[in-house]
Amino acid sequence: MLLETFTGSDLRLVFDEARRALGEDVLVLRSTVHRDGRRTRVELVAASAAAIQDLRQRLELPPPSLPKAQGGRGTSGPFVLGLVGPTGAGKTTTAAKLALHPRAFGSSRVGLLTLDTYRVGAIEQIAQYAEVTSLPLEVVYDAREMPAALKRLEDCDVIIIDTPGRSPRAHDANAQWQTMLRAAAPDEVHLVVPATLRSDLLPMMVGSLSSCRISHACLTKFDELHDDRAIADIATRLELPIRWVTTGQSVPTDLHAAKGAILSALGLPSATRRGAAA
Amino acid sequence: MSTPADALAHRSPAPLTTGEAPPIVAIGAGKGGVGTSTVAALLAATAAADGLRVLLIDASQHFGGLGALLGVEPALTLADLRGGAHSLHDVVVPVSARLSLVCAGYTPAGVSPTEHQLLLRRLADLYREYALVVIDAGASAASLRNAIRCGATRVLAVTAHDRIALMSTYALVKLLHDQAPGMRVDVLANRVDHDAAGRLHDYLNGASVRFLSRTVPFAGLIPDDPAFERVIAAGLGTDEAALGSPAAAAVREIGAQLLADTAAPPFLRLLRKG
Repeated sequence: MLLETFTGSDLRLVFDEARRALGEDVLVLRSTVHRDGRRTRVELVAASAAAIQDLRQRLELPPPSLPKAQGGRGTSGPFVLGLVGPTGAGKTTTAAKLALHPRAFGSSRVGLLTLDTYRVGAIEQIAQYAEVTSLPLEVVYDAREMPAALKRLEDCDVIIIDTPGRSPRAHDANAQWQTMLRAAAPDEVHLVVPATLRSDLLPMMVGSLSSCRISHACLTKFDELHDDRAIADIATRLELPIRWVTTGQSVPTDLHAAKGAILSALGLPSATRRGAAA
Repeated sequence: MSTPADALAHRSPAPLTTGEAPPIVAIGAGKGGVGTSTVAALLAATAAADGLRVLLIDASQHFGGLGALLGVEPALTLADLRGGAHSLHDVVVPVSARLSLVCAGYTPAGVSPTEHQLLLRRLADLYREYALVVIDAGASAASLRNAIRCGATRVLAVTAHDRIALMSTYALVKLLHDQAPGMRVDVLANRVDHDAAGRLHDYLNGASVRFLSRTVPFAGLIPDDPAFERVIAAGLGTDEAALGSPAAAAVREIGAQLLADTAAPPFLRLLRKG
């Protein structure tokens, strides 16, 4: 647990208790004084410096290594990013946001590839985004089609792969699309997970997607969380680097850098004392 | 700093093919019955007879129209491309040594229209193997849109000598003007004589200049050729029916002019000859 709550009648005593539990360099994120008649109750929300440091490290990520940054296409091919996650997490919308938001991949040419041929209307949804934004789109039904689909998108700097959200119990169907995703050899695989998801369900979900070689997490529906404890809880339990969060359904504007969004939600500055910028 | 709105505003349609691509001509019409399939088949067959490798794509929404016209029957549909068991070349039906056909117009069972459009776009991978790609878009706006999605770089709008054909051809030009502003559209008058073709073109070009501020070039005319129609109706292939046909001779001339208009240098076209 990243955040701990300490209560008592005297601020100094409560702070001492927090220091004993979390170490001398404990960080107090929030203090509240409740007065009920003549009684006073102090509440401190605090975290250990080590835990905050660990979270910062998972949020302070270098930008994706795009072929353009490495001196042009042809040497390493497009940067391939896979989006995986449970049903309704917002993978398709996130794919569109990432493809279009200037702060995601800048002016790079982005192509879309979907493996979601299962959900009714899934192809139509992503095809609509592709159509109105003139992005190339490929649909892959079988791993054997993957090399040709990637070849058709080889002029892109970035390929974003959308995947179906299936029940963890749909083993055969999951094995099929996960084989297709592995055939694309993605550079990064982001677990797209609603910030509102019960964090105790995370292990089962991550376990069912283990063959996808998840490298990062992307928190969606971040605006639906109003409790810093819940934000801290899911961010901690994910144990994955987080580059982006999304906050709504507006494409592409509701995409944000995770570092600023999560740290400010926890009341922490984005930059460290030495002045490292976000 | 650029905004998301800027990012959207500055996007332009992605080219389907890069590098050296052949002319990709869509044959369309504003109404049915003016002969797009016949024009497409003749254009492809005469260009192939002249030594070019030609890919003919039936993108009109009727099953097997061009296949019947050319006397071949496809074994596979675009739906068979799903799953990776079949390659693009498996859906190509050889008609003659230099002419190949893909029957891609109608939406196969179990395939949504969106999937169909995306499968159609895969055909672009074949284009570099040919010196000319002819797409029969038939008479519907949807199939013409599909032809443009297939990479068509210019449209031949087939019209005929009747008021409805004329009005619907103008409607087609207007539609393309709105939805594919950079697309070159030429008018081809079918089953008409010189005088009628001149009047048709004057009307269409005049209306386009006046209301759309653009000209509509005249690609040529195809004379009425009842003998050709009779031979085709009797079940003979287009190749045989074209022999000695004035209609086929006119289409051959139109095709030669069309190829001469394209940017590809002549030596590249010669290299692509089969």
